[in-house]
Amino acid sequence: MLALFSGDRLLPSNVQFDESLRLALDSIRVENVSEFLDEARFPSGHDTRMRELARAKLEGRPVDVVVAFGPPSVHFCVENQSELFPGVPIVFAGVESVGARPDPSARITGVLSGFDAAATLRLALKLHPRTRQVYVVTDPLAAGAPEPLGAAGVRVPLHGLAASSPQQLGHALASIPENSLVIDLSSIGRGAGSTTSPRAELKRLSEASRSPIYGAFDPLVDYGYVGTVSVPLDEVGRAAAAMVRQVVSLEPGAPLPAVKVLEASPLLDWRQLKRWGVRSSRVPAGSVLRYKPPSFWRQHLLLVITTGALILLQSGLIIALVLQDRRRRRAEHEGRQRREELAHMTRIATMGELTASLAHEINQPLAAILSNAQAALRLLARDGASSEEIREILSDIAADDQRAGEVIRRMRSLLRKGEASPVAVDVNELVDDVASLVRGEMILQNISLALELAPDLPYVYGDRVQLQQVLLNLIVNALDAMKDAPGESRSVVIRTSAPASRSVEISVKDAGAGVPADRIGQIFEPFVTTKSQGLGLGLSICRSIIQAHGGRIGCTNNADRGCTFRFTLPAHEGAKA
Amino acid sequence: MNATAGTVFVVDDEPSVRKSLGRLLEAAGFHVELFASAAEFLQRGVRDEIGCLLLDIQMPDLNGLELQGALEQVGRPLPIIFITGHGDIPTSVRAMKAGASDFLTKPVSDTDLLEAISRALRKARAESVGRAASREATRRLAMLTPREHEVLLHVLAGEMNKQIAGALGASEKTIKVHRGRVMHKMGVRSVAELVRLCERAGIHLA
Repeated sequence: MLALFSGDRLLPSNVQFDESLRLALDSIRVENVSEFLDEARFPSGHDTRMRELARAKLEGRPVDVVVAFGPPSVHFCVENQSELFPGVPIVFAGVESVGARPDPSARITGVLSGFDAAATLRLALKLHPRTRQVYVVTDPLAAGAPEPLGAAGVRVPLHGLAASSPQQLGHALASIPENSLVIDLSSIGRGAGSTTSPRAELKRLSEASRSPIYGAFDPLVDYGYVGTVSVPLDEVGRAAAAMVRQVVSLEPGAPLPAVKVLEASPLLDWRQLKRWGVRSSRVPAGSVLRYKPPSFWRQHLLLVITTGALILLQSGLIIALVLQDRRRRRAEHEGRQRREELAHMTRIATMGELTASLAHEINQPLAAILSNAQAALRLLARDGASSEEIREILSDIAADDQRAGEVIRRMRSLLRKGEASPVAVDVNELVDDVASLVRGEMILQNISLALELAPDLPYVYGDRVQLQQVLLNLIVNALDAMKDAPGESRSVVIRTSAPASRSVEISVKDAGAGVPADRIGQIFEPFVTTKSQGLGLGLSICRSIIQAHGGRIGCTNNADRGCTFRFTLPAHEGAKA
Repeated sequence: MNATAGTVFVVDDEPSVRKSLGRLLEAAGFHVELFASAAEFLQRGVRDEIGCLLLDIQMPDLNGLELQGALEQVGRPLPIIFITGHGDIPTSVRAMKAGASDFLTKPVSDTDLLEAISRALRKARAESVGRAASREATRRLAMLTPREHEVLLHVLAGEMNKQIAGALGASEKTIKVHRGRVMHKMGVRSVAELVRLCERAGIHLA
């Protein structure tokens, strides 16, 4: 393959085209010879010399295909095809047209890549809506006739601006007013007709320009031009390469593929858009944006996704845990509340069973008070009553009144509904309190009550009312168990002891029927009862209360008769009764 | 004998109630003895004296009704006034059937209590008088010879001397002598008096 370029070897357009062409042809093995016309450097008689050089170089080397890039090169190849490489197909590229329609017999095909000046102008005006006038830079020969733009149909006035070198262009640009737009249709940027590379200068002046400059040519976008509507050179290269592949794989004598026309598309420099403050919303869809820094997302997509996912996962986990914790707390709170309510209900029920006893306990001091008061009245009515006697009576009345009040206080505290309030509790005092509530009941039922309280017991820590409830419940159970027991054996023994140094045990022993052996393991379960009436909740509540206090409760049948319930509670640190 | 003569035995396990009842009764002029339990009272025992029991029906050891039964057995029935904390009907019915003098509920008003006590003591005194009379009749009855006892039974049956002589196979004259001795020994002047006296001594007409 022979590739023939126009102009300088290092012309950016040549480099870019060459690179994309070679890249695209990488997969088929092509021996590639490149030549550069360099026609600008050697203007006169160069064609002849070039022909001779080419002929000399190609001597003995059959050429399968010729690629011509750029108008001078295409022109050269078409002119000399029959002489230099007769019958060898020519693939042209980098031209807008091939001028006169080539001879159909000539083996010529290629890609046409246009530059759409009118579209460029429309794009520029769209991106810079405040533009008042447009300056169109043309080569000096075409000065004053921005003819390709006449058809653009824009309302903004167009002015011609002739320049053949960056210097001339710089001068011209310095004098144009604000809110102008420059469209460079000249060949300055292409480097054609120049022996020096205009790149650095072009870049400098376009960056110094007060007006945005749009070019006619893809690589200009690299020089500080805002953009163009043309075909990107790499696309041209790829299209030409595809054509080359097609051509070399043809059977000899087969017709060449048709000329391909590439569509121009907007090509913009993102940095320039920023510089001129163009809003990205104005950029038409489908534009190629060069030098757009990859967004944070694009650059660290995996990291961002991973981090995001981790954070999400973590927050999800935290939220789940918080919710779970909250739900657990609520459930715990509700559970405690329900337990307390249930405990309260059973306390009321138990107290209900004891009403006769409680009435008795209050009635006794009331009876004593009445008799004492009436005795005192009689003594006073009689002459000679000693004040000593009266004082004694009154102090007895006061004591009895206090006693009645105490019973009511205990009763009220048991009936009270409220949150558990743990305090240090003297177990023996607890037993005395409860015993005073049930004593009347035991008299009524002809049951004797014996208290065997160990001295010097450690305190326990807990809610007095709940612990009283447990004891009360066990005693009432004991009384119920002895309903049908013979008279002489009807007794309840409440014993306190400290079986280990760190715990206190309270036991309630009755002489009733005992618990059937097959049920003794279940009596603390809810709704298990051995009574003919009763819900079977009392003992399950007792157990939940004792467990909540960190203690244990159990029941064993006695060797002789009845059973013994005992519960242990941990001793309260550092307190001694 | 005045209205307050006699002893009120107060049996109540509740010290303050016992003490206050004692105070009230003493202030009203009664002679009072206090006991903490039925057993304590039974230990003291009751001789031939006038008195009544004021009893709490609910006591731990021996309750009021049981004490009532125990007194009945030793033949010393005293009028009993029951006091109860709650006057349930079955208990009060049982108490009254067993011969309770009165049944009061706590707290007791003093007028009710004192009336009940007076009534009980009156009854006790009456019983005491009756008991003394029958003791005398029994003593006199024991002085009769078996033959005189036989004659007495016929007299009590309302038979004439002639009929008695026929029944016992003795002369009418002999029966008349026996009859005179019986009337003398029993210390009565008329057959009507003799009948009343024998009833006291527990001899009932066939």
